[in-house]
Amino acid sequence: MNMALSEQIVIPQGNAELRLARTWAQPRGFWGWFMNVHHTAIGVRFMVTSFIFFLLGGVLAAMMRLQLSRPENGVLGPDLYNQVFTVHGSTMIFLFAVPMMFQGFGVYLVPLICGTRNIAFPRLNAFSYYLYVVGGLLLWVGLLLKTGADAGWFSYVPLSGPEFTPGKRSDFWAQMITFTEVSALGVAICIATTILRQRAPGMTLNRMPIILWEKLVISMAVIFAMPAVMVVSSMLLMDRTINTQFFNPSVGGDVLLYQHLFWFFGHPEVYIIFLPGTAIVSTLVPVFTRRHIFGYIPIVTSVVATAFLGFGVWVHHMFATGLPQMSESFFTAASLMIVVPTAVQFYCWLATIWHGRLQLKLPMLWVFGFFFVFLIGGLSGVMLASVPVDWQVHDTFFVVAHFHYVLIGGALFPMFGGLYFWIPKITGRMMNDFLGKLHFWLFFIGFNVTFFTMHFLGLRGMPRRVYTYTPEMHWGGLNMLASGGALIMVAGVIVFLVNFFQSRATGRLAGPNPWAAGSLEWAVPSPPPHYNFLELPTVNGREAVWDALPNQPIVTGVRDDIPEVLVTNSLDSEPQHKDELPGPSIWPFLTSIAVSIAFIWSIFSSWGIAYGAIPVVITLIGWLWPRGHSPAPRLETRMEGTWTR
Amino acid sequence: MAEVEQTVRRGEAPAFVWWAMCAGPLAWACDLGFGYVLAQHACSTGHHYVLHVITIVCALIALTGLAAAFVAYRTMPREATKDGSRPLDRTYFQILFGIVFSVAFTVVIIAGAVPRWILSPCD
Repeated sequence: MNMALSEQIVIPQGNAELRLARTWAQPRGFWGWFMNVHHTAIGVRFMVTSFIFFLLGGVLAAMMRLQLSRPENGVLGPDLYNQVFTVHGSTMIFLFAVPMMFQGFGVYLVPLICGTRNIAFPRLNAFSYYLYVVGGLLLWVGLLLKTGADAGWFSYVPLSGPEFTPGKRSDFWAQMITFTEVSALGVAICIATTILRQRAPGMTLNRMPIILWEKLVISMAVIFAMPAVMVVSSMLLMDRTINTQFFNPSVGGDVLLYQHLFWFFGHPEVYIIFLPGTAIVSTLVPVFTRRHIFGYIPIVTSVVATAFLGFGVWVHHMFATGLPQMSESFFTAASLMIVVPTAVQFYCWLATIWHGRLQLKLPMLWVFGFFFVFLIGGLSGVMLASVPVDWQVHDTFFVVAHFHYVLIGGALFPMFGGLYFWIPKITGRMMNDFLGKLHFWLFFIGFNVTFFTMHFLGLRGMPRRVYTYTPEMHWGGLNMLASGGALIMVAGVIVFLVNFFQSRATGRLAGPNPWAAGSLEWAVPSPPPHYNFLELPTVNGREAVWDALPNQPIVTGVRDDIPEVLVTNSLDSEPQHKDELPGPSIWPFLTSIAVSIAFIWSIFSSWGIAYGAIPVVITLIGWLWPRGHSPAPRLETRMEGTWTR
Repeated sequence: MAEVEQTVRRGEAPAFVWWAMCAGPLAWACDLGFGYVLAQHACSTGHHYVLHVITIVCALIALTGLAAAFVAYRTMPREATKDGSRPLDRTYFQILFGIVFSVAFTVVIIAGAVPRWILSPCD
């Protein structure tokens, strides 16, 4: 196949680069910002926005730690404390972890690693971003107006139902879920399609970089998991606004139905957050050990198996609800077995490091931090998978410690490693090494001081979600220690921000491949131009750059006067046809505004969806109205498709 | 066998290769789904054997995936590699994937059933 392509090479006539730059250019200015549909811009926006939400969620965490630092503290009252921990959890899960780990990294990196010029369905991708922002604002505006959600990040009924939470607090939460999950679904479709249909020739299924495998698997998990939580949040909203009785047992509703639907989403969600972290680790480890990953097939099968098993363990979140023991036993075994694929990945990473030449650079430091932290989280997870232990520590700080070890270990440590690794690609400048290491050690020490302590608080019986405690409980010392650790973590994040802004302004120029890495995003300049690749690449191995032949063929015949991409088949990435992607447009933004109006209106009036559908339909017509080819000017010397099939 | 080899070389994975990849997870999902639904019935009537039958059938289904993968593995030409770019190589990868998946999910099904065989969780 490569030979066939190389025989069809057409040498670009004149300034192909200029033509590509014109064709793929995105509009500038105020309105241009809203029209931009290129994956690098949208990916960076997802990352920046979700990081801002991370900082906001961190502020709430700091407020909680301040309140709990000593007995009978009066910084936050009970009502505000309820809002703070609810918005903290919801922000970190729905507005930071998934949008950063899945959408942000995925949207930015997948097209580059696939070797294509833009993501599939770029307008859907942009639409998803705006919807996510509105969802986040909805939750936070509610908090700032003192109507913040206050029934916990999973808002169990009957607590979140109309009887026990009157007002609009839980409605804001429920609609935030709809916004963010529609956004995740949209991005999942874009990413899965890009991976399945736009991979560079030669990047067959068995050569796909592991990060692409993981993004594909996560996209599928999102597509199957997210509808469950959208359904349940909509049912909750209907119970609250139009008096349906889905969760009212007195008239035949079922409270446990809420938990089943929520956790059918909620547990796969853990893997939707965690697997992108392992994807980053599987990318960084080969780069900094200078060898291909050990155990490619075991890792791929582990990733897919984790996603499957993740859908079969949701009941372990409900062990304390009084389900029959027989039913619980089904999920205990699966909950324990899911450790195996993760352990396989651990062994493969360690074997890669063992057999490679380790370079302990800054991103790799975060990988080792991940190993340590996630291992502790995994071990406490094995403890919690056992029903008797789970009953003993249910709803205590032990559980809080466990899931922070899993989520911060599984997501935040790899995320920072990934940011130090890819920020040079995104900004074109290297981060400061000393500040990066200072950030790592502050964060690592602070994290362990904060959350390891919480295991002991849990074992001493401190329940989660209490706004204060009496001195007689003797929890004050450990709480003060945990709060001190949180302060060290905050210092670490501040160092990261200083490093980022300083490096962005004055950092050393990165060049195309500062880490001598092997995947395709490192074959383009830093930052990548809007057309990504001047010449569309072909691939000769699992690490495209490392394995490239001296005369590695390129793909030709793809037009440079319209935003055209090469479409390949799913299994063998053999070229099938060419496709013109839609260009910049204001309609995704306008549609997101129309959808937002309909969703928010529905909180206040049941007619909101009906009347709100009118502008949605109008903007969708505008979005889908056929407009012919790209607005880019057609040049006389354009290349016609010499490559046909 | 020669026919299968030709199919593979053309880039078409035979149906049993796809079955090898899917049998394990499908069987496990059936075991979990049917077992969970019938657990209350089994406990209330004392017909625990229903759950054991489901487990055995599902484990056998998962093992058919292993058998299919093994048959496909034997048809693989020697020149097939794990990271080549030919359809043949990709099919080889799928077969290895199928072997791992079938074995892994058979183990998961059996591991899930062990407590039901040993303990009396209905009590």
